[in-house]
Amino acid sequence: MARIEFTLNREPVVYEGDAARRLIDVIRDDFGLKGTKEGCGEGECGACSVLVDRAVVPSCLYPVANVAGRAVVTIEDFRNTKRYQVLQTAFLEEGAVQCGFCTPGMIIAAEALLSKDPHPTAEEITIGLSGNLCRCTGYNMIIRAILRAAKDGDGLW
Amino acid sequence: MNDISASIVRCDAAAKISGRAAYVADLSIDGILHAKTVRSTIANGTILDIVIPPLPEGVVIVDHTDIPGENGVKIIFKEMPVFAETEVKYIGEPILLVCGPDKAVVEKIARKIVVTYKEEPGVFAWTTSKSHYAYQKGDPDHAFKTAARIHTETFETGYQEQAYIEPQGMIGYPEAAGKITLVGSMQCPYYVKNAVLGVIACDDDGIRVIQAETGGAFGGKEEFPSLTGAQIAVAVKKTGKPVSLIYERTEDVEVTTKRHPSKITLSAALDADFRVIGLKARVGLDAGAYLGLSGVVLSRSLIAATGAYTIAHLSVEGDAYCTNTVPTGAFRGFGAPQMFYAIEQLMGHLAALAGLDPVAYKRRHLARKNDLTSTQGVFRDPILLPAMIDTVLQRSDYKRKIRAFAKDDAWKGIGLSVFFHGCGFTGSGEATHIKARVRLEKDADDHVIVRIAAVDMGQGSSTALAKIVAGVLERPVATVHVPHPDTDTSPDSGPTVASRTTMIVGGLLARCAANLKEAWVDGMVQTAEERYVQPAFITWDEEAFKGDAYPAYSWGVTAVEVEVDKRTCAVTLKGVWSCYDVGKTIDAILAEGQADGGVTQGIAYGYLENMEIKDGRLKQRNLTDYVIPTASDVCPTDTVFVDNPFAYGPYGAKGLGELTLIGGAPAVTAAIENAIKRRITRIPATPETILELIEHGQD
Amino acid sequence: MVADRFPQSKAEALALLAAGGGPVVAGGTDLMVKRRRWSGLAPAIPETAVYVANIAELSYVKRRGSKIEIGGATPLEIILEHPLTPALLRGAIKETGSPGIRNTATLGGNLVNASPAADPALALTCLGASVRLESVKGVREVPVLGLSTGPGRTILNQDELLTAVLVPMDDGWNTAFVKVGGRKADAISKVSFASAVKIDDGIVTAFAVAFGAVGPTILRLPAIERTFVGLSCAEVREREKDIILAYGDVVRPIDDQRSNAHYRKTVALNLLSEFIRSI
Repeated sequence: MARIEFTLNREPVVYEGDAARRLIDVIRDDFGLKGTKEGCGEGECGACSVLVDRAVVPSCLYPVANVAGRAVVTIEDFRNTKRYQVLQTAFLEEGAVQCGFCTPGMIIAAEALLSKDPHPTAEEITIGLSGNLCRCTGYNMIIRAILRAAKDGDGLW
Repeated sequence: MNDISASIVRCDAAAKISGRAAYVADLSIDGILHAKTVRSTIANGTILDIVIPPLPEGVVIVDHTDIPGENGVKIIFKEMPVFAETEVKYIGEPILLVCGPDKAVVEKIARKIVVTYKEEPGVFAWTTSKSHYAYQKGDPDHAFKTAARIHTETFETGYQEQAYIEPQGMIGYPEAAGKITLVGSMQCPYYVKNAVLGVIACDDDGIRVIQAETGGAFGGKEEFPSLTGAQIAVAVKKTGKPVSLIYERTEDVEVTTKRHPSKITLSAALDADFRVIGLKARVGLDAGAYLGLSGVVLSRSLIAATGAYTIAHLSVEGDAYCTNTVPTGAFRGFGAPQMFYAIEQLMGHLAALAGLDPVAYKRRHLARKNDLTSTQGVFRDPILLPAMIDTVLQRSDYKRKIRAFAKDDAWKGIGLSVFFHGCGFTGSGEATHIKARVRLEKDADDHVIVRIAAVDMGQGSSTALAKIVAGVLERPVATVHVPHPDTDTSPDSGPTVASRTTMIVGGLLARCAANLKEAWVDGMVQTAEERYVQPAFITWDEEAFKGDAYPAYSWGVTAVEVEVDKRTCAVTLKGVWSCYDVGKTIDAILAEGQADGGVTQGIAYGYLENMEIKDGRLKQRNLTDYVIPTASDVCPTDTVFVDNPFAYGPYGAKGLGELTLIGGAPAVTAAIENAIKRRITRIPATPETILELIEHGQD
Repeated sequence: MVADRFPQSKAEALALLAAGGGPVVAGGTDLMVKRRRWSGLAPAIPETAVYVANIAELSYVKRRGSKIEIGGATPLEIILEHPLTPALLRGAIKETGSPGIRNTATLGGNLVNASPAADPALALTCLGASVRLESVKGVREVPVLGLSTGPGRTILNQDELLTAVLVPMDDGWNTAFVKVGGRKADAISKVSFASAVKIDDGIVTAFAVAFGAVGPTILRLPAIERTFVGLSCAEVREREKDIILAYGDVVRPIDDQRSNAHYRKTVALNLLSEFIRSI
């Protein structure tokens, strides 16, 4: 039984349990945050992407032990930000959403990418999204949405 | 609304982006039992014994002995058991569920269950035909007798996995009076309901099926949820508790349906001018252990035998074979992608034989308005292919490139495919099998609820259908609501398949909305209903495969440009250009999304996505080994839709969703052939295959 | 108990290992998949596991004499972005996994996971890097080449921790990394190739090539490489055929779910040919 303190969506929280548990299970089952999705369980699809200390990580293969002392942000908190509003508008306008199962993870990956590089090229976006699979869109409309968010949200990142 | 195609923001997108949309795995019910499936570990044999360890309190085993009704999942027949009894026919066939409140305990019990089998050799060769169709047109024997030459080739295609990002999932719970409610990720709520009714042996109101937000389907959630729905219903019936069955990715890849592997032999009878005067097609599909929808898939393959061309004399036959492998089933295109791959390749190879550019050669054969279709129906509507080909040639700079690549030392290539999709169910299926019904309910606030069974699985149907209804009513789209189907409140408008939702369901809704508009009284609660009536011109003889196979055809042209790495044989996509005739797009951005996603899947089917099976066991069993495209694998696409309104479609719309996939594989394969100057007869054309062709292939 | 589970320093981690703790969990990107159970259940990693990803003193990139020293628990993404990172290693990390994987996975984990298809490990092998293995009993430095003895197997003792990687700087070297995966990004290598050559006044003064995913361990053959040192570039190019023959004998890949032996071997040798011709 481990005791792990970290911040989840800016609130200090304490986890008590098996240190090897997957971060995704702690987020979804213990804290009821269902916006983080499980698509593959082995770090391939990125539907489970969350931010740990502002970097995108696949929460399905992140042991909860490793978030000790770190800041975890899920879509449930990120959606309250101005950056999110810009991304959401861009995703809506550019048709970047179809089935939506990959979308919260895409948004998290986009946030991580823009945090590092506020004005990425289309190619840099494809690299930034390379851990997030989408089976519906063929990606081009997502890439366009992120280019648009970078432009419309100039100065936010 | 001035132009229906002018796009609006889709109604479900904000909830999805923000993570608020609830998919089946996101639903939680107090006291729910988690189910784990114990499956056959052998491909063929009989179960001799199942040893179940002592069960802790609260853990329940659910197997075939718990089924109150028939142990068969109604798809077309009921030949697939809900749970295996004695025979097992493929690796992964479900035998029983272990259900319990604690996943750790359930997993432990499932692991400790010992099944002993009498194993038989698996049948993997295509020897047992379970569905056979054949038809003719004209006088093929005469055509082949008088042909100047005959050219025969065999084409093979592999599995393709739908790889929706949300795995399959179903939950069920008991309601009052023994009623069972199922909530799941699905395309066809009434397929699930009808399958479960027979398994539970209850009255029509004993089962309720609700579609949860569905994270992609592509055909993979057409018939498979009928199986999980039946299993969960039996589990709920036995335990009296809510039960959840959520697949993980590996399980999903291993045991759910995928696209049929095919082997297609085509013989073309050519006149002295190298024109195709006759065609013989012999199609084999691997149905896996149970036939399921394979007969229908086969039928769509066969009807597409001539591709987008008119060929006077035809002899077409095919079989769906059962083998001891995972059942195959519906996947976007439904048998057509295999056939179009084969016929487009053949036409390209015949062009080479004739010494002509493939596009010029294909042009000589294009189907035209009033031509007889392969099944001797009539193409009644204008066919715009010549202009569509021109559009793609011009936008892709095809002619200049093909000349330049011929001289270029690098392995660069460009290829073009021409294709159609028959919209809706085959023949008179809509009238005889589906009998779709829709209902509009207007409340006192003049908001309209659309009651249908068609699901939005990501394609955007809820937005498109709301636009159609709002457009006819001349009301704001925001006042029209398309909730997730619930069989207790939604009439059966048919399954969400066959690119029928916009054209058929949308057409019914448009008529229904017109009636509602006629009767409209502000502030009054009103309803309107509409039923499908087959247009009188459609005649179809199911037995003879004769007549109008589809009420309408959507058409497409796709060009793909590639570069192949000489060191590694890896293919890089350099450009994708498409032109589609879907009658009329109901929403430009939704249509573009269908185009982009479909062509990406189709191209990947041709060169990237590889799934092999050995002794009944799949070699690629997860998304690490079964590789689908990432953002780095795609290239920008250029898409043009031409208007060609269909009189019976809402606003002139025809089918869209499947069409866009069909041309991808033949176009990319033609491009790779153009780059490596070798003939490809098997897809996916992976780097391994390309290397083999470079070393041993034919020019 | 809590302190036992989560060492805050290298010394604490080594003490835990000395007391029989293990396995070591760094980023977890491989281990969490290998030991995964049903969704919702913790992977089968025992309570004795030693989690090292949060030990600050094991996460750094710094210059140390003529080498770059990288802490064993440094995430790949940090190394990718660090200005001191040798170009060949940077090139390999760039093609490893996805941003999320690179943020999570560590360099030490990549080495100790001992996959013959590991991209960073291939670059390190080619560059002649070494690793520092520490236990409470002492420290040893061993070459990356030889660290793995087969898929998932290494020479590490149970009580040892890979604390640092020492990489020769590759300034003045011509290096190249080629990854052949099932797709353009986020793929496991079907075959991979790294090369490093140093040329002074037309004479080859150092030569290294390494192959990934062509055998149970990353393949590098110093005995063959030594025969090229001291030759002129033209002389090396003239020997292309012999070189291919020599490597052809030892590049012995297998068929699996990602590729086949013939493809792997052909492509590995194609990449070698290309490199030889470029010298």
